[in-house]
Amino acid sequence: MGEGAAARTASSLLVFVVAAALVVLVAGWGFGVDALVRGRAGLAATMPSTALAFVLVAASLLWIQLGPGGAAPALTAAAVIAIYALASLGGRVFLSLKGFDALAPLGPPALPSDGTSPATSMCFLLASACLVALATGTGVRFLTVCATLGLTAGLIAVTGYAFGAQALYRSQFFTAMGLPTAIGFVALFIAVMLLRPTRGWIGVLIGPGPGSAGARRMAPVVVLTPVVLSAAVLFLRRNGLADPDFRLSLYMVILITILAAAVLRNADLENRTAALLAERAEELTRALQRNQLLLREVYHRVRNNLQQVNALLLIEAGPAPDPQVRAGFDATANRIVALSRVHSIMVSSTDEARLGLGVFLNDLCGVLGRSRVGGPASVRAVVDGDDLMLDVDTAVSLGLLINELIGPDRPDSGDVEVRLTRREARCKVRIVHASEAAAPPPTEASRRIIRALVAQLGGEPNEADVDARTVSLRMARRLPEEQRDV
Amino acid sequence: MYEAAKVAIVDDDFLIVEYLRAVCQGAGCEVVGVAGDGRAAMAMIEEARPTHVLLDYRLGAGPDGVDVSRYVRARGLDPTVIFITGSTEPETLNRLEAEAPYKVLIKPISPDELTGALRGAA
Repeated sequence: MGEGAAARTASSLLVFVVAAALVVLVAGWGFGVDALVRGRAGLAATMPSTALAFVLVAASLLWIQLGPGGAAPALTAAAVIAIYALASLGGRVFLSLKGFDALAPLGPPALPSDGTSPATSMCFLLASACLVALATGTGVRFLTVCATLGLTAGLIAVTGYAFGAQALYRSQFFTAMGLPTAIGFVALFIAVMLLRPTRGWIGVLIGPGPGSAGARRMAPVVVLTPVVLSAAVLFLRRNGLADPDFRLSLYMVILITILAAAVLRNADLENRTAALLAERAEELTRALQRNQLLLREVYHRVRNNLQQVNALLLIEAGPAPDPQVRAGFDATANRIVALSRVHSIMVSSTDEARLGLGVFLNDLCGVLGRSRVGGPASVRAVVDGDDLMLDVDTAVSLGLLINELIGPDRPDSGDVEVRLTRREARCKVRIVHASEAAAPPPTEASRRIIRALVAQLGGEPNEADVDARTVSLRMARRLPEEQRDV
Repeated sequence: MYEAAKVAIVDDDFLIVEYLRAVCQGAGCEVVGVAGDGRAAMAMIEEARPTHVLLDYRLGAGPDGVDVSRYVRARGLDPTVIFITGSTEPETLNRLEAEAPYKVLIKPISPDELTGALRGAA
């Protein structure tokens, strides 16, 4: 049962309580229909004040669940209910058995046992506490305890009526709690717990987990077995069919047998479920391994294909190329290598979709440095500002841009420093060559590539900046949602 | 020294073999043999006695680059081995590094990278 179904069930129960209380009040007491106020002739009655209290509590709970909001009406109702319950207890002690209802005699002739029982008053006090907890949104554990106590009291009374009202009447606490009252409390407190269905034992019972499914399987057996067996024992006792000790032994053995069978059946189902889960987990692991293998193969193919592109370019350039053609080819080959290296950094990160800027830049400078003929670690990253996460597209564009700013056509230009300053989504990238002589202005092809990549990264390139190898970017457009500018 | 390098190329992709050959020749090296699988590579290296071997890791069915490298060393030959691979998984790289090659180059390899590696190994 989901939260929606629980809420709908709670509403239905509350509507039932309001309607039933009104029927008892109007048809039962107003028109004197004895069966409506007692359930059966001779049993204790549900008093008019009790019916009114039920209407008030259930309507207040409906207000909390469906109303426009505001705790004041529910808190007011809770106060009224609490005062009524306490006064009923006091009235029973100091005035008469009927308490408040002695002040306004109505309906069918009263029996000596008619009145507001202590159990009824206590249940209304618990209902009042539940109202406060629900209206203020606090004390879920307190709410569960109160509702459970109220439900237990109601169930004791209902069970008492089922197995013989006299037994119930011998308990002073429950004396005079009518059958309609008991049923009303059972419905009312179940509804209260369904209004907060994700917490407490009701949350365990109706939850989606395997433990909850097991609890739901066991619940009918656990509840119905004692009821059925007790009814059978009662039948035997009333008809004098078996010795009391034998009845007790029979009851105990059958109860143990049925409950043990239910527990073992549940254990068997749990075992099967666990085995099925293990099998599914193994299948998932195998599928994941297959996918990882496939992914590695794809990456391998991508690198091979990029190498083939380089080969095709070299073949097209010819065996004795013009120096300018050769320089252009070398620059393009270096760009392809840079593209591959950016790709490798992204796929080797823990999150293949995103990577931190600082980590990415350090890795990028490392691989670009190792790719250059000038020797390892000749490209150094300096990042000023908070880190941010890059998506794959941004990382590829930024990596190609930095490669281009360093100068893919000048692999021997010596040590290089990549300085990236970040203020929120604005980034400034500046390339500092150890030797200015080794960093002539970019070629026309390189300028076009830089302009395109800067535009891709939300910046506005100008020629002076490109010559100075300094560009400003605004990467917000390409950042993950949570890191974009407001 | 650098110009005198005799290079053997082992790769199962003939387009890439052509690329490597062109870069080596452009760098002044002499390409003394090429092979497209592990067994052919073993025979070729034994016969051509190169000073440098550009050795792809994955060579299709049969012996791979590491097997070729071990075979060559077992025969008492000691060319400078430069492994070439498109795989960057740690297992592959660890296996290659265990052979103590002169260098491991990750595809795609730029002409500058390969030239730098050959120059450094000369």
